[in-house]
Amino acid sequence: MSHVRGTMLYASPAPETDRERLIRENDLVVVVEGFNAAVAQRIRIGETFVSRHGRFPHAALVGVAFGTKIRASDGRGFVHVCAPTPELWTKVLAHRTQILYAPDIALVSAEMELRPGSTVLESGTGSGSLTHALARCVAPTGKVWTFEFNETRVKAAEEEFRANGIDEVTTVTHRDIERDGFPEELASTADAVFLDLPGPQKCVASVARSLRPNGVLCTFSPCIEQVHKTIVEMKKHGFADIKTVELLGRHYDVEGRCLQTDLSAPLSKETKGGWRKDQKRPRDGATEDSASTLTETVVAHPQQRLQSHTAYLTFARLIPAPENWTETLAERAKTSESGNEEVLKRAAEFLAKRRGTKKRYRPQSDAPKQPSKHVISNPDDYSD
Amino acid sequence: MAPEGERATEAAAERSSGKPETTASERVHAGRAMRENDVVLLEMNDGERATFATLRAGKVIDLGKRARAPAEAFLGAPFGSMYEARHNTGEVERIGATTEVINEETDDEEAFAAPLADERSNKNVPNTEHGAQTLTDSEIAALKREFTGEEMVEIIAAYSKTFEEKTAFAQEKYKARKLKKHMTKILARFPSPRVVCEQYFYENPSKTSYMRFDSLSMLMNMANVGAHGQTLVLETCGGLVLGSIMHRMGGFGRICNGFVGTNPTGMEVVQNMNFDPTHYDSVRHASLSGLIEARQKGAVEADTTRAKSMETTEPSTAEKKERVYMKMKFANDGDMSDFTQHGFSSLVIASLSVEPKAVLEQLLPLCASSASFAVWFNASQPLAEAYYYLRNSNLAVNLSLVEPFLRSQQVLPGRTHPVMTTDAGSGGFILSGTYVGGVNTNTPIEANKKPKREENS
Repeated sequence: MSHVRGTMLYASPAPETDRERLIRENDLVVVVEGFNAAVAQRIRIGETFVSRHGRFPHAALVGVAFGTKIRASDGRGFVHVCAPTPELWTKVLAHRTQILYAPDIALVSAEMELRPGSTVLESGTGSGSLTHALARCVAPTGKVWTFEFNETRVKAAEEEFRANGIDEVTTVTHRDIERDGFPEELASTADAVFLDLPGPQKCVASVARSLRPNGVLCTFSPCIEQVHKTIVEMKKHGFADIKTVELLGRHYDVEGRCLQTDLSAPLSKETKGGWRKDQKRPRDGATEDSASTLTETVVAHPQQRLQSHTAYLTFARLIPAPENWTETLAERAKTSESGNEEVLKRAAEFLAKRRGTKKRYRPQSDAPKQPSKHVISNPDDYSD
Repeated sequence: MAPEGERATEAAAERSSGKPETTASERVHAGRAMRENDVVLLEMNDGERATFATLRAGKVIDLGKRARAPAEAFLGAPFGSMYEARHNTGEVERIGATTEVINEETDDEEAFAAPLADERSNKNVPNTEHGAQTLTDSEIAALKREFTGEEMVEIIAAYSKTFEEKTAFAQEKYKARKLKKHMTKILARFPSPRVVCEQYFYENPSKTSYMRFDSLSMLMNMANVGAHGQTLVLETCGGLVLGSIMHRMGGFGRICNGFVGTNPTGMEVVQNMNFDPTHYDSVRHASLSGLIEARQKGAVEADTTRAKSMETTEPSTAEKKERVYMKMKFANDGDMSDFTQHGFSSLVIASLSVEPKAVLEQLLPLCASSASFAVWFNASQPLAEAYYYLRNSNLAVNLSLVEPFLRSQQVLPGRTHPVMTTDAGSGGFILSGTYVGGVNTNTPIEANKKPKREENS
């Protein structure tokens, strides 16, 4: 019911009381140094974490609750020691490749409809940013099979997964999926497949074999040409319900601004140039006297630097085919080949027969044409 | 196609044995057959319209546009199956994906260029197509009884005066439009949270507070919702957020559906998601004020009294009739003490009726230290104020305020562009972070060295 300390996933059974989860040796800790600055540390007695905030001997962190604010041993500054989550891991992991970020990860996990017990295939593993989130979704009874063609990355990922405690639900394998496809043993086992490869179109056939009926294929491609080629392949291999989206996360900065309301007083130091009050809080007493003429307004404004494109996410679903569908389809294709002419001939015959036997009802062509009510009949007449 | 056939027979065997769905692997819906009393979302013509249907033997399901189908047409087939409703005969036939093999010979270059290399233009096509069709309505109606949907499209195109002059794009569009009119394609979707969220977003958004799908997925991830966690949720999205959490936790761990006031709000959306009893059993309704009270009481009481109080309350709760709302139980004293003793590992708030800052101020102390939280609101200001408060009072770190921006793309040879109208306006805003107010902070490390409690594990 609760977090196993220092690992990425929740585990059962719950420790008896753990409102304050305590750090132990070998735990993974995410050290939050400030806004958007975090570092991963594995607790080893004898090591010391040194940052611009000071020195933090690991031994001193053991026995401290996760979430605690820690002062440096040399008294310079402080950090927070947080329990790892897949989202925090994405922020602190060692980049071996370009990685997926939180908004994309969230959309991918949900679009693939993952839940405990699902089986998901991923290629390539890369830096393992998405893998951790996938493992959380399918744990404890599901499985993530992840494949990477670079052997050093495989080794690094393997170690990381074991250390982070997701290895029970995750297996990383050295394999070139574009060239070799997914292993035959995994045929018809996957609930979802995620492809982040330069040429995802090359292995769509293999994906179709690996997926269960109604399984979801998701591809992550930065270029639209890749997407187009992949969609052509998807349509060949029984996928439908295909959609391509782009998800951007617009991040906001929040700050308290001092905005002057008194128009007779000159602009003060605080109000000039959108001074950010929260950087120097009233604790230094600077703004106490001018507080009467200033209103503090909390504002949220988008960060200037925006990740405006990560990749196109394409989702497709393997449609379960009814029995003998391939035969039916072939038959249909045959009839439609000879079809057009033949159908039109049949239609002409049918119409001729019908026109001959039945008096044709012609409301429009026979009746005198009525002027439309929506047209002003005499546009020059403005008498009313 | 062989494994597909096997799966279908497996499913058939399963149904005949009448075994209820219980095992963990069975809980995974992909490849699952549609059974009696299942809810299915029937989506017509690639999202033209969609409707929830409960499959009951003997029931006739209205597909709109005068098309109907008996529930038996769907029962037994796997979720995700596709159907064609034939307007000439009124029958519903199961189909597979129509694999497109037309462009097999042409290489990619050609595929990109093909539709553009067209001398025709829409220059001379009149805007009002009135009178362009030479067949009368009654003739079309008569033809419809004789010919299939695809055939109808060919006939109608052949009898159109303007069809030949249209560009290849326009011809394709025209045919697609006519096909929708003369044949309905039905996709029987499993009502997963993503599907349900989209359906409400497009059909009945006020019911789910205009919760958009990408925001919902961000809520789940940013709050670190996962199996064996203990999640506190406060939502007024008709049960959509609760259902999404139940789906993500799969019946493992505990969910506390916290409600404001004396009674939970409507949870109808959860009922549409085909959850089994284990999922429902992982949820407890609890009044938020009750939780806060229990937390305050629990803080005063020593740990040892907890065991005692549990012993004493257990018989009394057994005597009390268990209150159940929407198949989910209310928290009894034991649950309450569990919740407050362990603290929640995740907090999810999605309500347009409560003030984020005030709610976080009151609910964050119920969380375990280092718990993740995520709050959704459709305007940024209340969240900005909550953000400002949390940062300045040192209650949370890793704070972020994000607005997801989702844009759909049309991807077609030579015609790729973002789709013209989407509901990309805004999916709302998400404030997320890590709660760090749960422990005595601001003390030098030496003082923190001794653990607060004995470790039991």
